[in-house]
This record gives sequence, structure tokens and C-alpha cells, in this order.
Amino acid sequence: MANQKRNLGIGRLLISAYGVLALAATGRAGYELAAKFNEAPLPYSLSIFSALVYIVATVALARSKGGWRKVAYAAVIIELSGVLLIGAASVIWPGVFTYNGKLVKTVWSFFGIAYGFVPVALPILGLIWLRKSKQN
Amino acid sequence: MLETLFQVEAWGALLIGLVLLGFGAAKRKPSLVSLGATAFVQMGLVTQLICSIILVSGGARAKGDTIEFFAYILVAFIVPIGAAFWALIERTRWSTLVLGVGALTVAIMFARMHQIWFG
Repeated sequence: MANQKRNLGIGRLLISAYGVLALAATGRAGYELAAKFNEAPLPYSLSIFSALVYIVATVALARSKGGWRKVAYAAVIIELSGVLLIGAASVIWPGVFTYNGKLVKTVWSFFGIAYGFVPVALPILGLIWLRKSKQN
Repeated sequence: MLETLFQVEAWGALLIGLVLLGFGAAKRKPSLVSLGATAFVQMGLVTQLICSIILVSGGARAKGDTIEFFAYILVAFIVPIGAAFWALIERTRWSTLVLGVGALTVAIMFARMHQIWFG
């Protein structure tokens, strides 16, 4: 019981971190969409996509019961794949993200370096938490 | 002047964030002290918003994108308020940590706003 409570507490912290990232990504994507979407459609579409995934992940982790649990798993796995794939792509093929000679970044570029690598750390912590909280 | 204001707000939010994380680690529940510290961070944002509106309506512009600058302030506005609501609803030490995470987030956003404004 004590352990379960503790897990719940750490979960709260994780959810708040997700909330912050969701807010940061949504703010960024909203600004890019409103101000300059046509300049670089691919990176900005990725920003919007990542923002949506973070919102879904935050809500699903906050509920994290029944069906929401599966949604949380899916969102966290999509997130991890996204940050790994786009992170790797930004290193291997920077040309894909270059518009008018300028490298345009997304939340997931370089494994989330602009966000202190939080985007790559959070889904891993999320998966660990989802696994652990089920055991109780 | 504006530089000093930024420094006070950003370092203040960073310090408050670290102290709140310390409070959380010491298992303290949210109190008037931790909520007051969060209110101080919020006051920094209010001051910044008012100053920026005055400056921009006076013709000043950010070195970066002025719209992006205001987007940052407005999004940052939600963070301490959200964390404080959380702390009022759930009075456990975890909420104190959430307050700390919120203050640190605002500190990072101040640093980014400084970057956008001064280039």
C-alpha cells in the first residue's frame, strides 16, 4: 500500500513534467503554424504532431486506468519512436530539414537537445512507470 | 533596466524552483511559503508582460520575433497558476515538487525570452 502511494506520487511528478512538455510543444507548434508554416512544412508538421502526442500522453497518464492505460502506452511508445527516429534523421540527413539554407528544428531534432533531452528521457521514465504501477 | 529585470526574474525563478524542489525532497506539503514563492514567480511574469506591452506599444521590437516573445510570456503564465491549482487540490509533498518544476520551467522560459528579446 505504501509502495502504491509512493508510485502514485512519482506518477504525479511525471504527469506534471508531461504537462509542461505538452504546453511547450503546443506553444511552439501553435506559433509556427500561425506565423510561418509555409516556410518549412515538414518540421512544423512534426512539431504539431509531437504536440498532439504529448497532450494525449499527459491526459492518458493522468487517467492511466482501463483503456486509458493502453492509450498511455501507445502515446509513450509513439513518442519514444518519434524522438529516436527524428533525432537520428536530424543527425544523418540534416538536408531533409534544411529550408533556404537554414536548418529548421523540431522538438525531436537531435533527440530533444533544445529541451535538455527531456523529450528522450520522459518516454523512458513513462514506460518504466507504466510497468511498475501495474505490478501493484 | 530591462536587462536587470530579466536577471532578477530568471534567477529568482531558478532559485525558488530549487528551494521548492528541496522542500519537496524534505517531504514538506505545499504551504503559504511555497505558494507565496510561486506567486512571486507569477508576479515576475506579470511585471514582464506589463513592461513588454509598454515597450512594444512605444515602438520597441524584439531582436527575434516579437510574436514569439509574447507567445512565451502567455504560455509561461499558465505554468505557475496550473501548479498552484494542483497544490491546492492535492496537498502532498509531490505537489511541492510540482511547484518546483513549474518555477524551473518559468526560469527556462525567461532565459529563452531574454534570448528572443536581445537576440
